[in-house]
Amino acid sequence: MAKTYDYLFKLLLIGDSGVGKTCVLFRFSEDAFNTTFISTIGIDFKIRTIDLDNKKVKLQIWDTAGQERFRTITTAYYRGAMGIMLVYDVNNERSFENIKNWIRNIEENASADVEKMLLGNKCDLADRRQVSKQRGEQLAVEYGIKFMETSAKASINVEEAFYTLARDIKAKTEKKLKEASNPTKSGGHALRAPEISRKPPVWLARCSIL
Amino acid sequence: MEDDLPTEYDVVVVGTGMTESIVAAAASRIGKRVLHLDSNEYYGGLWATFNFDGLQKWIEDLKSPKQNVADTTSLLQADEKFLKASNQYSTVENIIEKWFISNDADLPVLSTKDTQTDGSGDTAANDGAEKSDEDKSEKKETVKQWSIDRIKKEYRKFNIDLAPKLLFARGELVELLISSNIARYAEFRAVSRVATYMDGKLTQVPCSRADVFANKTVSVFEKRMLMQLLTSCMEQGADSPEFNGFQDKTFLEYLDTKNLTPMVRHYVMQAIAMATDKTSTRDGVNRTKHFLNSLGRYGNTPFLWPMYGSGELPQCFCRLCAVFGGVYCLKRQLDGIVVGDGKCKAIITGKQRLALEHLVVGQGHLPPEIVSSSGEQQISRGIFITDRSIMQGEKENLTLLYYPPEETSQEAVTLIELGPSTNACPQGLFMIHVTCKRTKTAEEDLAYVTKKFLHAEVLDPNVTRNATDSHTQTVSPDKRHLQEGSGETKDDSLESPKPQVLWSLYLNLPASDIKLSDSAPSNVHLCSGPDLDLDFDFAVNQAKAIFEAMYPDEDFLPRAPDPEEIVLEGEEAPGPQFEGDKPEEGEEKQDVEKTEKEE
Amino acid sequence: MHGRVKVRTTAEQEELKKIERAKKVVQYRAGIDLIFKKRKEGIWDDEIFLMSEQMVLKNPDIYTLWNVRREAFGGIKWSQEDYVEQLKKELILTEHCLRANPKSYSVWHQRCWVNDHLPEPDWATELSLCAKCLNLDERNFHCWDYRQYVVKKAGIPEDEEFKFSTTKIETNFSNYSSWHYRSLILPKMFPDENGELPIREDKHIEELDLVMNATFTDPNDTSAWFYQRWLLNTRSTSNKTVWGIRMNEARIVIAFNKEVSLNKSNTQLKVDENLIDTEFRSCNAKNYTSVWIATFPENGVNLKRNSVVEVLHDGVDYQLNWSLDDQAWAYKSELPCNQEHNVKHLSTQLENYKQLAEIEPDNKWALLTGIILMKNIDAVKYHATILNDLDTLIRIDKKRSQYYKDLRSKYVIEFMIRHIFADKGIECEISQIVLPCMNLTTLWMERYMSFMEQINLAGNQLGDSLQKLCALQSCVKLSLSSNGIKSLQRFPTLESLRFLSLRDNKLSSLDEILDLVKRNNLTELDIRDNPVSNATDILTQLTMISPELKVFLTSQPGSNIDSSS
Repeated sequence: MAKTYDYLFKLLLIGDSGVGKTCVLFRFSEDAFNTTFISTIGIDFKIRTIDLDNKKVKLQIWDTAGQERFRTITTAYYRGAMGIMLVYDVNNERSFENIKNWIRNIEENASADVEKMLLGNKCDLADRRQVSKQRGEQLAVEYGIKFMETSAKASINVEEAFYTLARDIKAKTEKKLKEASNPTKSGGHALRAPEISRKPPVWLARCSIL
Repeated sequence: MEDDLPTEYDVVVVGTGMTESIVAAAASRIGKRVLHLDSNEYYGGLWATFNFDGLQKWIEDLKSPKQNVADTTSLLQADEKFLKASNQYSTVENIIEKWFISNDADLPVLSTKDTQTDGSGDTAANDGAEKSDEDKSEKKETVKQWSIDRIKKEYRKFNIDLAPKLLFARGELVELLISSNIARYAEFRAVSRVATYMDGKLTQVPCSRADVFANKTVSVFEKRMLMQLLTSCMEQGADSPEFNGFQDKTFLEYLDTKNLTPMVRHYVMQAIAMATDKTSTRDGVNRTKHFLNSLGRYGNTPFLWPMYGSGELPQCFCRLCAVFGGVYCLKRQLDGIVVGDGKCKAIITGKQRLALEHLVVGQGHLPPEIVSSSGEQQISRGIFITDRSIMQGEKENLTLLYYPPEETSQEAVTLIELGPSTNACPQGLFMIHVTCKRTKTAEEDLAYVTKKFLHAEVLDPNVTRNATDSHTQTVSPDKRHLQEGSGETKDDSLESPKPQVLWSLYLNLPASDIKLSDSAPSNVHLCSGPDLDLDFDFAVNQAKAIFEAMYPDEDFLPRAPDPEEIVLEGEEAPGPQFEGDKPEEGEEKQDVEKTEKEE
Repeated sequence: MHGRVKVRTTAEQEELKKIERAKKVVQYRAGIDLIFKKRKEGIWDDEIFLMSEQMVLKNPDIYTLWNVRREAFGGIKWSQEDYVEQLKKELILTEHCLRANPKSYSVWHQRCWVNDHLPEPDWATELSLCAKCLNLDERNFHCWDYRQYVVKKAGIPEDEEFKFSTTKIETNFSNYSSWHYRSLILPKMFPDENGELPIREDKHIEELDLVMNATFTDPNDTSAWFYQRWLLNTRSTSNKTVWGIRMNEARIVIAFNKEVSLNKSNTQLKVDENLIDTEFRSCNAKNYTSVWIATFPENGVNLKRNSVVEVLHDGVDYQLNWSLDDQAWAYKSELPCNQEHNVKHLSTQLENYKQLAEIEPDNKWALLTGIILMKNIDAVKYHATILNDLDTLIRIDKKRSQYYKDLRSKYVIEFMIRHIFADKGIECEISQIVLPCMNLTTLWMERYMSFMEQINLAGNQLGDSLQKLCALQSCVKLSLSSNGIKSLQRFPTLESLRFLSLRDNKLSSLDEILDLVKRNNLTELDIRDNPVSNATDILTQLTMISPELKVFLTSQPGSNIDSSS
């Protein structure tokens, strides 16, 4: 298959249950919103390819699959992630306080140079707000990361947030590419379904004209 | 009440080991309500992989006794019996942890350039963009020797396996990962060489056709011999007339009839078939076939190693289970099971009674009442952090070595050596796993192999190890000649200095041969812990059997859809109409996870 | 239910695919129409680039689209900067297309074209593209060809390419392309000064050993054996191009050691310093051949016994002398001989391959290599063994028995010819060769028979492959009896031929016999024991053409051509 993108970034969504991670994901990937989403059933990750400075950037955005509920996110979830959206609910104080725990979790499990961003979701429901924008900003400054208030429902800033994160990762990647003399990927093999291959896969693959 | 779990399930799985996780994923995949528990705060149980710090905690935890189970009588109905869970079948014994290096404070102030640990050599080929930041910080430290403090400080760069296992490229697990689409959760590295110990030195075994071709130590006739033998095992199989008359004989006896040179015989026996003198012809042929079948798919050897360690693999299955709605709860102990009418009706955990149709339970959580035999076999394991490879090469290697017993009292040992590119350890170090069947203690069982290949003595901080050219490939023949001529003993004729052990851990683990008693409820399914085999086939097959027993008419882990195949119904007219919706929706949203249960 | 997540069913996916396909067809048609319209009208603009780009991405094999794009490059007035920029974009586009189809002739070709037009092509990138592509499929010969192009253009040293081909072979030696690539590079890096071996002697040994490792690892892989055949293909050489010349008042025949093309500028005939205007013709009407003839008009050449006759060919002067035996002016030279090379090494290899043939009795390659090695080491000493092994091959490898039979014929004839010439020496005239009942299926080294008068090929299996007889320009008496000949269509016209035996063949066409008699000036023709000999009127018709011709039609005691020699 033709490679239809220039960069592929793996992004994660992290935060407490019910902060609207899946809604943010669907707003960005499908431009859809529904409260009756079966939050994470069968949804592993979503893909959207965006244009950044004439480069096609394929974003692979992973959902927690509900494993955040009892803080049981697998360490495997963090492998290879280049960006993480930390999401809390501006109407839920506890989800905001837990961000610190999530950051600790990330520091323990994710790559040291993973790009992070903080999102205060559900900012459309102004009357129930428990966490002010200022506190969100302050926390972000504390960790040296970017911050935005979003609403998946009202489609506020979701697009902007992902573009911002993607742009930062792209900048970082390109800087690295420039510095590294041999920009080879250090990852391992991904196992793939046996493609209908011309090459006989047996160990005795030989040329034989008869 | 955040910790309260829903109370009814089709399947409750206790323990997040390999078998348990596969069963959990399979049940969830076909729409069963699955609860997956583990008393630990990490996944995998005895299959886990830890960073250095995590491993230390795990060792600590083993020393402290588990808490007692609370009173459960209030949760029981009449005619029900409560059987208390026990961890007696997963006891880890004879743990011996040793350091062979000093603390920072004990190191000389100015250390000389230490070529062994600088890491820029062996592993240069794997410097990737992803790591460049870490590399930079490391380069500043290259003149530093490895100290206890440094290893502890860089604890995150270690991934240490409790059950290090390889995957055959065409083995059960690889096929399952691919067919179920779970492969997307993991990455692998191909084992780059299969080594063997012969004539007093380690050599790389030519196992692929390309290896045989390029090998310079084997004569053309030996090449033919080897290829002929392998081809007949591969293409004909054990039932072919070729093996008539050897059904009751050993593989070795069969090989003896083939007029093989000692070298070819050694390669086939000890590296390809990984056989002992007692292996039957049938087993030998099948093992050879299995080995060859897996060649050429992902690399030059038949084996794969999971990046970040074997402990990743159960987690991949757990992820799939969760994606299909399985509920996960770690740090949650199984207190016991509720039995009535010959069935397991529920479990008790954290003061909750959770009803179930099937209970799938790892051997570490079984109530003794339903166990018939506690298992005879045990595993002896040794883990070493070293400063160089057992067999230095031009690039970093991932090595498998099978070492047969030297004496009858010993057991055959498999040795897996991992380099930094697997994320098992930081640049400049290697991680060695040795495994054998237990006869005495792990340390005693493995002593002869440790002595043969490793330098496990405390390193004097004031003496720098003599620098060797870390790039020199295995010996040139003339050099060997010199060494033999100088009358050194066989053991010392290993060419480059043996790897210095910086840290070691010995432990004995139970192997997987526990049986349930006949009186055990039929809806309780036992999952074994890690077994002695090199691969994961045992766990995969056990999981298949359990699933088959629970749901005989259902597909086992059919392919999970790719994200592109998942759509929103009515997605043709998406979102905006919700703009004017009532505020109650907000409330619903907060409990999205709960509403879904009714769907 | 609205907004609910679900997995598309297979049927739904099929349906979606169908719709997609239909959409694509419509898009494609519209696109092609537009592009062709613009092309016709000579409107070269961005749109034509854009449209065709989208289309080649989906269908990289449509070469017309690439043609249009190249025309567009020429059609638009670019600034130098824009032109280079657009060419660079074309590189990216072709790369994308190659990812989809790495074996598209059109795309590789387009990429060459782009590089040819770029002021400073980035060859390093091109080379790494090749490496990547060959990593995915080391047998992609398109890419090997492209690599050759890049290497040539970029002036990449051959030794680097040699190393590259070695690594590729080490990864997988079942690779015709890679071995072939080697056979292109090596002669450039290490040419053999004498031109007898394909490469320098020491390298020749190395390569033979390398290939031996491959053949022992997998004797059933043909690619390595093919490369070995190339290595073992040694040439006999002679410092003279001309082997022999015969000339009398009527004509001149020149036999060359190799196939040449003659014309007035490279070949001249002089008698007593006078240039004779001669029109040479090839014996088989081909431009390159090894036997050339010229006939002189009556009194065209004034020859005296003491005339100085010389032929100048390619700057070399060949002196002809009067030969009493021949009753002709003649130039004679030695047969070119096979030089011995690496005999010791080849002998070791021979031992190995003999053993391999024992271990692998069904492997024809091992046996064949043994034969070729023996031939290269000492064809005379091993002659009997070689024939014996060839007989084995003919038996076990039925599919290619014809090839082995031909090879056997060649070896037998070469052996006989060398034997005769060695026996009699250069000065002695050799006027006949007797090769009956030797299972010959083809003629070989026939150029060295071009001055012989009697040639007996009776009892062989030449069948209908008679075209090589054209070299027998001096042959008076020729026996082809019992050769299974069905047709004479390829039987050449031989000026000297008088006695021809075609007895006991399978000839059935009277027309062919008549034609043969028309074309050749025969005095005796033996066609007994052929279906055609029963044809009505055969004698009448033959006599009509050639009243003097003596024809043998039915078996009768008495004289016949075969027994008379």
